[in-house]
Amino acid sequence: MSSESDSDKRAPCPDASAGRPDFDQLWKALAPHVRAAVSRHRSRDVALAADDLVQEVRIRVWTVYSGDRNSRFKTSYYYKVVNSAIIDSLRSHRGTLAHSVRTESDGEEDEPALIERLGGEEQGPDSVFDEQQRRARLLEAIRQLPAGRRRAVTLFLQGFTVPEIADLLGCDRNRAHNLAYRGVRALKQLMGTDK
Amino acid sequence: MKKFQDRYSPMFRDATCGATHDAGHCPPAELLADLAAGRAWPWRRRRLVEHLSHCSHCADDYRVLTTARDGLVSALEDRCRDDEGVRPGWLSAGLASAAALVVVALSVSVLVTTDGPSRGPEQGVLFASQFEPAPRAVRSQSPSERVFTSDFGETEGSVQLFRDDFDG
Repeated sequence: MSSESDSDKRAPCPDASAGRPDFDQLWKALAPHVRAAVSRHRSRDVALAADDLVQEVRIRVWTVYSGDRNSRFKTSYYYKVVNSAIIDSLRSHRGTLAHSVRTESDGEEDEPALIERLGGEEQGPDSVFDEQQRRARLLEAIRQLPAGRRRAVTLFLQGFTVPEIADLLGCDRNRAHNLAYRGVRALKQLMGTDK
Repeated sequence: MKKFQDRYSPMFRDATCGATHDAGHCPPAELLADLAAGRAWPWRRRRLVEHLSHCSHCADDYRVLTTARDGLVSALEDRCRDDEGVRPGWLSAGLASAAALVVVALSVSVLVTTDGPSRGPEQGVLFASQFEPAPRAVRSQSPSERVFTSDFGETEGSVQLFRDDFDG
């Protein structure tokens, strides 16, 4: 998506005459936060770069903004629009890993280095089997946990921090920490590894 | 605990990657946005959290939203304040004068309806005090008009309840 086409869309901006700040002003305030958000999403299977995602969000916000001639939409509505646009963009570009790898390698990495890197990541059948065994033990152990600890531990394993878990579970940090800590301890015992 | 997370988190996330996403069971973006903004109902929050714990895609999406949350809210609120700042000044003065006009019109209509303060019975207004005598008027009735006369020794002018007139 080129910047020319986007600026063409923004050209007939009727908002300056309506006495409210124009879209560029609004987007200037929103863009750094949108960029920071999509940059945090480091999932390998999102094909597009952060700039493309930011651009898609910008078009979505512009569509809503151009229909909001009388400033009927409130802050919470724009907040929802921005969030929905971010999530929809991420979801729509998920699952195109091959394109992502090709795009990155075209610009930065030469072919021998790429082959060496891919070859180094390859696992033998033994390690694959061990990995599968450990994964099965982990999932089985998680299933045996009480509901509260299971929820805290699975969130912890999804990468959430204790304050985030407390926020999600709607409890204080001490309780979230206790649930996660005791859940992890129980998991270690169930899996037979106390490391 | 951190070591455990580093070791088993990738394994768990691989196991839950796309487990529900392809089946179309993931919540819509609006619900995740509500959860990130703290506006989800408790029952919905429980369901969403249960889903996040078993779907690494949605967990990532939620993390993205929480990253942007505070900055977006403050930026949008600043923009809202800007909108209020550019509102024309004559608008508030016009609203105030319109409100004053409404108050004056209501006052005039009340005066016209009630025809101002009352000027006496000649205008056709009758008061209850004309039909019910005051307590002093009751006391000034003649003794012959009294039904009962008291003999408990009350002084003249006080209320007499009984009069013994049975020849005994």
